[in-house]
Amino acid sequence: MTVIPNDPWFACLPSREASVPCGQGTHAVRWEAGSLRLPEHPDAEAEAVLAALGGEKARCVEVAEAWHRHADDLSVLAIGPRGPADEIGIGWDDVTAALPGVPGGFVFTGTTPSVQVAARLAAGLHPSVPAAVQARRRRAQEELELVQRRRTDMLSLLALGYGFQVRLAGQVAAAYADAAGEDGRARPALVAAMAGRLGPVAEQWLGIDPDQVVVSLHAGPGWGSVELTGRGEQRRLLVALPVMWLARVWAAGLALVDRHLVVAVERPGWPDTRVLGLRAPGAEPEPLDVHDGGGGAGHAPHWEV
Amino acid sequence: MNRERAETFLRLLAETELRAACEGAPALGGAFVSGGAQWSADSVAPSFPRLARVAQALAAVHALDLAAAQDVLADFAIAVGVRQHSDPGPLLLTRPAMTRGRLYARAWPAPAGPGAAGAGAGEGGAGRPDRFIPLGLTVPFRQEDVSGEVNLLSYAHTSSGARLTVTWRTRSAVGQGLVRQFGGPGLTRLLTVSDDRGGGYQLDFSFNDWSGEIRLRPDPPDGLRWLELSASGQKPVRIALGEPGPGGPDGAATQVTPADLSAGEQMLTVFADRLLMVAGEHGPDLRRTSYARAPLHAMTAGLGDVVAALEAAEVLPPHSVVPGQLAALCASLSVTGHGLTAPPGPELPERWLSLLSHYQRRKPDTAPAREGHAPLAVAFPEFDGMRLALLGLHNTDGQTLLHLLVSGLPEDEGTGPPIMENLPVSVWVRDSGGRWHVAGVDNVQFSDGEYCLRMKLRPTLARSTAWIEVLVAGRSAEVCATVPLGWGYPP
Repeated sequence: MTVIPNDPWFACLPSREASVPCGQGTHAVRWEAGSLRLPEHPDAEAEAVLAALGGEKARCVEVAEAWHRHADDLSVLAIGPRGPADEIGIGWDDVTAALPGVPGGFVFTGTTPSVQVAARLAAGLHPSVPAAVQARRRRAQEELELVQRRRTDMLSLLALGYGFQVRLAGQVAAAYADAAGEDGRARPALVAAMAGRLGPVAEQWLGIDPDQVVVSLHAGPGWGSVELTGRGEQRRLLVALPVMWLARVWAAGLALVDRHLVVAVERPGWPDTRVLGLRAPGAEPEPLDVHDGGGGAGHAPHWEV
Repeated sequence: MNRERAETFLRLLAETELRAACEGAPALGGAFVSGGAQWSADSVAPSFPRLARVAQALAAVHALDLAAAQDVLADFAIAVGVRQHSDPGPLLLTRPAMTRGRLYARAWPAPAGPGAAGAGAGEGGAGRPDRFIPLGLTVPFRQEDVSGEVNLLSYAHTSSGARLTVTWRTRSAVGQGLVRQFGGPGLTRLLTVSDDRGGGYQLDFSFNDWSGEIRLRPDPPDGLRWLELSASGQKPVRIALGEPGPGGPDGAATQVTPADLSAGEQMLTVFADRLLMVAGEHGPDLRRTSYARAPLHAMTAGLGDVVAALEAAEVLPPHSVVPGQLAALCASLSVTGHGLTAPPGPELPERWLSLLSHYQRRKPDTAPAREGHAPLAVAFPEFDGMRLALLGLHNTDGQTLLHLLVSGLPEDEGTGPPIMENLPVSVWVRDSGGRWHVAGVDNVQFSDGEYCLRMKLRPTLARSTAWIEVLVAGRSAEVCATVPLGWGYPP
């Protein structure tokens, strides 16, 4: 089942496979060339139709649907990993434990108790309950199911592991790359996503505190800019890069190669690619031919000059 | 207002907090407190005070939708949960409580312009002007072994109907039992109201402790000359309604001074009022014991972040004096750790100074305020889209309580807190001795679009006070009413 259309942003990423408990066994789920595939479910769409008619849905199919639902979800960037060292230890047991109906697995607390109560009541409405109340309870029930599904989706996607997590983040970033300039609503989340990922990279690159990295979204021609200003507490690394940097560079594990901050991919490919890297802030980017030697942390690529 | 920068600020703060949480956390499964994010392995309710307060403040000034702010917090909760908890499932399904224990009052809708105050009292139903009549009448009652009196402070007739603001007392130990009957059939049978046309009214009681309101149903018609309120077996007390018209009692005067506060300045000013209100509970102990300051520390934690967020959202001018005044106020109250970077302001408002000097006296007040009640009925000119009227003042159980009627408040979004934590104006009283008293909401009744507020004054008002000046400060104006007090005393 292919759920993601091809897009050149993933050209530096090799295919990746994860094991998913499905039915009585374990199935492989494969990411390849920007698409999620289910080799064990050749007719996943038909399975989904059967499930809609009351059959049981295979977990592989659920995972693929979750991937599709969140392919442009900015929450993926807010929740997902900031780099290979940012370990998210979610396993399939966690996913199962969080499913509704599993004892202790579903708890909803916080600011919307009325939603919770209304949802509990929604199933057994007496005919005497006014229509407006019934409608409100139905809405509450729908909202609760939405929240529940979103959380289960997130856990499932995280359980696929780091390699899939960064690929999904790349997919989301790519989905907003063209519209980031016009769609002001997405900009805060995209700026934060860039800052959250550039901060640790800049710390490794220059030893600067990630809180001193100021990120803006670059739009228009050119790769952007990277400047260092101030001293001491006032020191700031001002970085302006396009949103696509997240997809093409960061998701591919290319952000920092051979003490260069990679700002763009000049000739995409895997395992060999040519990137533009900065040796220092304010310098001109220089082309670097790099190669994935494998064995990177968290199954991330390990690029070398 | 820059909503994009507001949301960006909150999301970047979330990134900082996530880093801090991950760096400061112990191994998976443990509890940790780091950078303001607090988790416990035993709890499914995460707490992110630093982030939550900024979210709260930005939502309060409408720089961020409540839903958007909650989404940021929800994502943050998941992000921390999946990194740090051995059993993240339940945590992932938890929605952080952004609005619980709200510190920052929701802002008014933007005023029409500086000094945007209306001409006078609002209109009641059917185009008739609102009416506010001070009363100062006492209705004695007796029922079996219980005797007492109901003190009528004011009569108000607005678009939502007619109400009497009252205090009451019993003179029998068993009278406490009657408290439970208020609003029930007991007192309903005890009191009756009729008018000069022979009409009768159903009475709805709404009390909290020894004061509250009696609503009249149906709505009294126009042109009535009087109402009579009787307790069984007692001589009726007549309420003269006089000629209809807006305004207040003889001798009351209102004054409007235009103001031009930003939403952020107004929010921080109201926050300062609340700080002074809480500080008043401890008075001189503030300097002596850190225990007394603990609630103030809790309130002011993260204030620096809030100010930075308001500036980023462009709802607080960069050169505003209010953050510096807040810093000076915190210093005066010996409160640290607030994170305010503005240097303490050189000049504090006179009313803050008045209260601070009272709190810092070596010899605190020990005598409780003596019992008494003062009829009041003053309608303020409309401002910031809001109408407000004074309905009564009394000293009861050692507290000074002021009753106000507020209408025109925007509808809450359903997830917001009660107005108790959410009145976005400053209310102050200056007594005839020149001393200022801050007012904080103590109780709220809401019906038909109107809020009946009972506000507690700190410090209490001496019964010798001949007049008061009630100041209500909003964004577009400060309105002030000077009211003579005709105290009534319990027998």
